[in-house]
Amino acid sequence: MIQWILDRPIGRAIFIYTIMLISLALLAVIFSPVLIPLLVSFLFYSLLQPLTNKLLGRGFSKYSAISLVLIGLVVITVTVIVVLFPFLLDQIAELQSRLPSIWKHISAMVAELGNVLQQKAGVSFDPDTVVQRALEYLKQWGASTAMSSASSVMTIAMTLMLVPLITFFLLKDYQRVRNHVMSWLPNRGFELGWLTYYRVTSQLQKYLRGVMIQSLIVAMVASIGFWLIGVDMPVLFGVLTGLFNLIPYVGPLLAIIPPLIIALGEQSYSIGLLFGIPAVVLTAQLIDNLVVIPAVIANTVNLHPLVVLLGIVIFGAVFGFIGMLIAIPAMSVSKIVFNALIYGLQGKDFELA
Amino acid sequence: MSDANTSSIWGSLFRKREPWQETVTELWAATPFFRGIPLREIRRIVDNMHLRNFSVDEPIFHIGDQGAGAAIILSGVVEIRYKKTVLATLSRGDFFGEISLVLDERRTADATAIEDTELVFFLRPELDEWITQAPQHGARLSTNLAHVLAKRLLHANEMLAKAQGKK
Repeated sequence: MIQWILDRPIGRAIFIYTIMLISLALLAVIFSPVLIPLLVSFLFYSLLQPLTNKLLGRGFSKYSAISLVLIGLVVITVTVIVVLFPFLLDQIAELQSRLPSIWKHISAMVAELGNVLQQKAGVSFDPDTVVQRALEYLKQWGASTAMSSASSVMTIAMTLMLVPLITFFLLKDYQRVRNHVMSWLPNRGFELGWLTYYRVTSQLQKYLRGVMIQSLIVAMVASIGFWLIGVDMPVLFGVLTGLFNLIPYVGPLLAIIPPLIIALGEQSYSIGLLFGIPAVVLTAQLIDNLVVIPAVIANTVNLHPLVVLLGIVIFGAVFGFIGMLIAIPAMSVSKIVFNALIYGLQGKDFELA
Repeated sequence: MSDANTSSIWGSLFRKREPWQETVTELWAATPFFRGIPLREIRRIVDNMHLRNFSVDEPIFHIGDQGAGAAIILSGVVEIRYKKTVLATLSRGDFFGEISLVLDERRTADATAIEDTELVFFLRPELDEWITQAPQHGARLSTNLAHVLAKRLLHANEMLAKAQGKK
């Protein structure tokens, strides 16, 4: 039975794929304390390695090329932290300070709705109870967020320290270590192993770079759009829209909700904003679909819409919100690896013409 | 696992090159493939090449296998066959499989080690990467490769013409 499965390309592909998944899961468990810095470093490595290669081609030595690229990375990161972070933190602080008045306004709206319902339809409910319940829920949520943000400060500090170090050694030694690990391949799988490795990594690099550029462009378009129509805290909501963009179908809807709640919570909200916010997100989506995707991530991965939806639901149920964010990248990576395996293993029936 | 192998993970930051890498650099430098390319550049490519050991009668590749690149013989003897016809017998310093450096195609002949053989593989993605890093030398190597392939084509045409003449 096992032999029958292994005799077929698809059977062998599934077999190798399963072994890879198990190895990956084991590695993830072993490296779990430093998993985030490791993943971020690999992301930076995939972004910076082509740049290092270009510098090597211009006659730089390996050490000076890597140092130059890393110094560039550190300068950009520090600039982003120094310039963008206080800006975002200000906006978050502003949001926090305005939450009570927004909440007051929303509870007044709920009370008004209660009156209208009672007058017109005879339905009665106690607005105070509703508001009280919602407030309690919000308090609980706030407490858990505060706890998790304390631990996330530690994680961020550790990540900031480890990432440049790991990225440096990846740029310097990754190929050597990789060559060593690949030397464990048996002779008959050696060429296929390397080809599969190169196909997967080149597609992955393209895909990850594409997704990052895509999120950045959507965040910029949405920020400018929100700023133009007069939404408060346009950068904060723009960045959120860029992040939500990683979730297909559901993402844009989620991106509309936070700025809409803030707009509704204002004392004097304009009807224009209620239409403007979805219009901005829709425009960002259109630019993304018509310009960015064809130019940046065309032909990399195509997943069936049903697979996408089921993936988002399942990843969301198992890993929460982060799961929804990583569902599509994770499934795309799986598809790239599996396809490369199938393609490589289908050589048995080959005949010279 | 040899010490030389484990040193790739645990070795010091300023590790020396493996002895086979220097020999392979000289072997490649003597081929038409690397004509006109400085030894320093050949060394840089060889540092990314892969040493593999094959035992007597062990297949290196079969017709229809995915070809990832060319190989040069460090020691031993390799036979290239198409079905049961022996096309070539190669030894130290000879290279084969160079079509796969250009095309993402399947192998068009069988290669078998007929002695214990050490091969050093040069893979297509590594050639592509090196060309982006050193475009000037890359252009030279591409011309050399075109020469090698054109000569093989001429040779094949001559053999075909002879075979048809005999008929």
